[in-house]
Amino acid sequence: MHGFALWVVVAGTLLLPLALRPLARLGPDSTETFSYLPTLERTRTRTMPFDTVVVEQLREMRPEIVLIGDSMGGSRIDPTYFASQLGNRNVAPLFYNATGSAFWYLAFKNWVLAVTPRPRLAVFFFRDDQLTDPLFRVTGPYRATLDRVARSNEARLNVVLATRLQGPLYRLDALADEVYDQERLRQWLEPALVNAPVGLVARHKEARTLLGRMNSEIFCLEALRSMAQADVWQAEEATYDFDKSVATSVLPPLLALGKMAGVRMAFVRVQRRPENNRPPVQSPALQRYVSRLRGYLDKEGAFFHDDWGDPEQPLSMYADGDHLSSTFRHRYTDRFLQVNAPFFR
Amino acid sequence: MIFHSLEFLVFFVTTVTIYWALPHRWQNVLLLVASYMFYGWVHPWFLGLIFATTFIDYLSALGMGRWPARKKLFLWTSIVSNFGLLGFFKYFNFFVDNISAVAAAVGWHISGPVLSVLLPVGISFYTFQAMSYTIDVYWGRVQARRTFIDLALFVSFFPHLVAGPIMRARTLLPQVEQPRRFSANAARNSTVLIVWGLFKKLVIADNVGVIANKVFALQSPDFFPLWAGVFAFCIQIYADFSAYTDIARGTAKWLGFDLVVNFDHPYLAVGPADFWRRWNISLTTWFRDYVFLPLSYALSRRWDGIRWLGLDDDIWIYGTATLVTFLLSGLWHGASWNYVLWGAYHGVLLALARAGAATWKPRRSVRRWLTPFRILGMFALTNLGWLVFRETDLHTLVRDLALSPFHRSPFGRQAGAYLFLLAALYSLPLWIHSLWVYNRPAPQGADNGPSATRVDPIVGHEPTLWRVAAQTCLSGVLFAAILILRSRTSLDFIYFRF
Repeated sequence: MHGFALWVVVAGTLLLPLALRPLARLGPDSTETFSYLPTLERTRTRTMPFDTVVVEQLREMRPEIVLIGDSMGGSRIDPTYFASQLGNRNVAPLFYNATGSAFWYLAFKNWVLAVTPRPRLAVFFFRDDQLTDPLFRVTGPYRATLDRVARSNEARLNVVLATRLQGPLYRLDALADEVYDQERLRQWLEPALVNAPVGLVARHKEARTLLGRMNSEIFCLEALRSMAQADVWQAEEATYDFDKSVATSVLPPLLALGKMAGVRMAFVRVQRRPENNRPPVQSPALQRYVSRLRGYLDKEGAFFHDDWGDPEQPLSMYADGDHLSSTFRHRYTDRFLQVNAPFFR
Repeated sequence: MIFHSLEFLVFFVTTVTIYWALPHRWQNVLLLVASYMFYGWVHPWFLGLIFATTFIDYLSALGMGRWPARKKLFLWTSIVSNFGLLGFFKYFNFFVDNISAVAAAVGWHISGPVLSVLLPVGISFYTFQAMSYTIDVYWGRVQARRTFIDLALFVSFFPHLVAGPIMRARTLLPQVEQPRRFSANAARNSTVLIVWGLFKKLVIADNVGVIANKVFALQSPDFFPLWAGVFAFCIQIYADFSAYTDIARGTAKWLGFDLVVNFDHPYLAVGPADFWRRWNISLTTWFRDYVFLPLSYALSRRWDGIRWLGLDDDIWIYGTATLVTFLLSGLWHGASWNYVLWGAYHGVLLALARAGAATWKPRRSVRRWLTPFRILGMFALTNLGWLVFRETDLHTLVRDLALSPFHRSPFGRQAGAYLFLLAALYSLPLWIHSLWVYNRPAPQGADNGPSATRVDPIVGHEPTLWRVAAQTCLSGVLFAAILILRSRTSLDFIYFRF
C-alpha cells in the first residue's frame, strides 16, 4: 500500500498538469505567435516589430564603419567627431542602452549585414566578459529590446541560449512545454494576475493607466539609484572561464558572420570604473580570461583593444558607474584613435 | 548546483537510484562523492575549503579523545581555523574598510588591500555545523569519530549544505552511521514537500522578490511604495528560505535522512521570543546552545544578586546575553553594518519583551483575546526589522525611517496599495497554509518540530485513501501552478549569500 501510494502521488503530480492543455483553450483567443527564442518562451507577442527603419538608414548611409554596443560605447565615442577625425568617413553608431551581446549579434546579423555594400569594419564595445555572456540582458525587463532586432526565427541564438541555460538538457525543458502547453495559458493568466489588484486601488478611468504611470513616474530610469541606473554588474569569478563559456556564446557565430561577409571585426574592452583613482582591480581569473580572449580573437583574425590600465582614463572622467561623463567623449575618441592609429590608418 | 534546475533533477534521480542499490558503507561513499560534486559544480576550488574544515575538525576531535589533558588546545585549533577561514572569506574586506574609515576619521589615510575572491556559498552554514561537532566532543556530548568518510558526509551532506538547516552532530551523525531503509511513506510525504518548496520559491518568492527589488532600487521611494516593498521582501525572504529548507528536508527524506524543521510559521508569532522559536530554528538554537547559554552562565556567576535601575539580576543577564548573541547572529548574516543593526534590533526587542513580561502578567482569557493583536504587532515589528536587513546603505535607511505617511501624493498611495495587494495575492497560499496549520488541533503525541504542536497537513500522515488523493491533487495543482505562474525572473536563494 505504501509503495503504491508513493507512485500514485508521483504520477498524479506529473499527470494532473495535463489539464492545462484544455484549460488554455478556455482563455481569451490569443493570436499565438511562436517565439523566435523558444528557449526563453514558447510563444511571444512582440512589444515592437523588427525595426526596418534602421536598415533603411544604413542602406542610405552606406557606412564604412559601424560602432556597436550599449551606453558604454555611447558615453565614450562621439560618432560625428570620430568620423571627422578619420577624414569624414561614413560611420554608423549602433549604440543602444541596456543591451548585451545577444542584441549586438542580432544587430550585426539582421541590420548591418542586410545592407550592401557591406561596411569594411565593425567595432564592438563591451565590458569584461560580456562577449561570452549571451544571457546578459536578454531576460526580465530587457527582454523586449531584442524584439526590435530579431527576425521571426533566430535558431542560432536560440541554441546558444539553450545550451548556456540548460546545458545538454535544454531539449528536456522544451519537451515539458510540448507536453503541458503551459505557455499558452501563461500568456493570458500572467497579465490577468498582475492586473487583478488594479481595480481595487484605482477607479475605472485611472485603472487603465495606473501600471503605465507607475513605470514612467515611479520606476523610471531617473528614479533609480545611480548604481542600479548604471547597471554596475559584477560577473562571478566562475564566469571568467573563457574556454568554458566561449562555446556557448555568440562570439563564434559573430566572427563567422564577419568572415563570411568580409567585414573586419574589432572588439574594444572598455575600462570599468577606477578604484581610488587606479584602474579597477582585476582578479587573476579575469586577467586569465582577457588573455585567452585576446589569443582567441587574434587567432580568428579580429582586432582587440583593451582600455584597462590606460593612465589617460582617470576617475575624474567617469560619471555614474562605468559611464564616462559626456564632456569627455571627444577626449576619449581622440585617445582611442591615437592609441589605435595603425589599425585605423 | 541549485535545487530548481534540470541539472539537479538529473543529479538527484541518478543519485537516489544508485544509492538504494548499494550497501550501507557504499551509500555513504556515494553520498560524499555526490555532495562534493554538488558543492564544487560551479566552483571546484570551494571543495578545498570544505575538505580543510572537515579534516582539521576530524583531527581536533580525535586529538581531544586521545590527549584529554590538551582538549582545550584542540578545541581552540578547531575554533581558530574554522573562524579564520570564515573570517577571511566573509569579513576581510569589511574589517579592512572599517579600519580604513576609522583611520581616515583620525586623519590617517590608508588604503588597505582588497580581497577580490568570491564568498564560498554556504561557508557560514557548514562552518557552524562543523564547529558544533568539535564543541560537542569537547563538552563530552558526542564521541570523536574515527571514520573520516562519515564525518565528511556529516559536514557536506548535499541537501542542506548550502543553506541549512544546520544539523547537530548528535542528530545527524547517528543517521550517517546507522543503516537506512527506504520508506515509501516518507518518500511520498517528501515528494509533496519538495513540490511545495519549489512552488514557494518559484511562484511566491521570485514573484514578490521582483517587487521588492524594484522598490529597493529606487533612490528615494515614497512612503507607501517603500513599505509595500518591505512587505514584499518580508514575504520573499520567508518563502525563499523556507522553500530551501522544505526541498532540503524532502530530498534528505528520499535518502533516508531526517533533517530538523527550520520554520514554524514565523509570521504567526505573538512576540519576539515566539518569533525566534519559529524562524531559522536551527541557527537560533545553535546560537542559544553555543553562545547564549555559556554566556548567561558566565554572567550569572559574576552578576549574581545584583539589582540595577530597579531590575533584577536575571533581567540584566538575559538582556546582555541576548544582545551579544543577536549582534553576533546579525554579523553571521553578512559583513555589513545593517545586519549588525538588525541583530541589535531583535536583541533589544527580546530584552524589552522579557522586561515587559516580568512586570505585566495578564490573565489567560485576556491573553487569548489579545492574541490577534499581538500577532499583528509582531508582524509589524518584523517588517521594520526586514527594512533594516534589506537596506544596506545606512544613510538611505535613516531617510526611509524618517518618511512620514502624511501629506503623500494620492498616486504614491495608489501605487503602494497596488504593490502591497500584488504581493499579498502571490503570498495567499502561504497565509492559507499557516492559518490552516495553526487552527488544527494537535493529535496526541504528535511532535512536528521543536516548537510545533500541530501536525503539518502537507506531510506526516499514514496513507489513507482520501489522504493520498488529497496529496496527489495538492501536489499536481502546485506543479501546474509552478508551470504557469513561476516568475520570469529567476532569483538566487537569498541565504546563498550568507
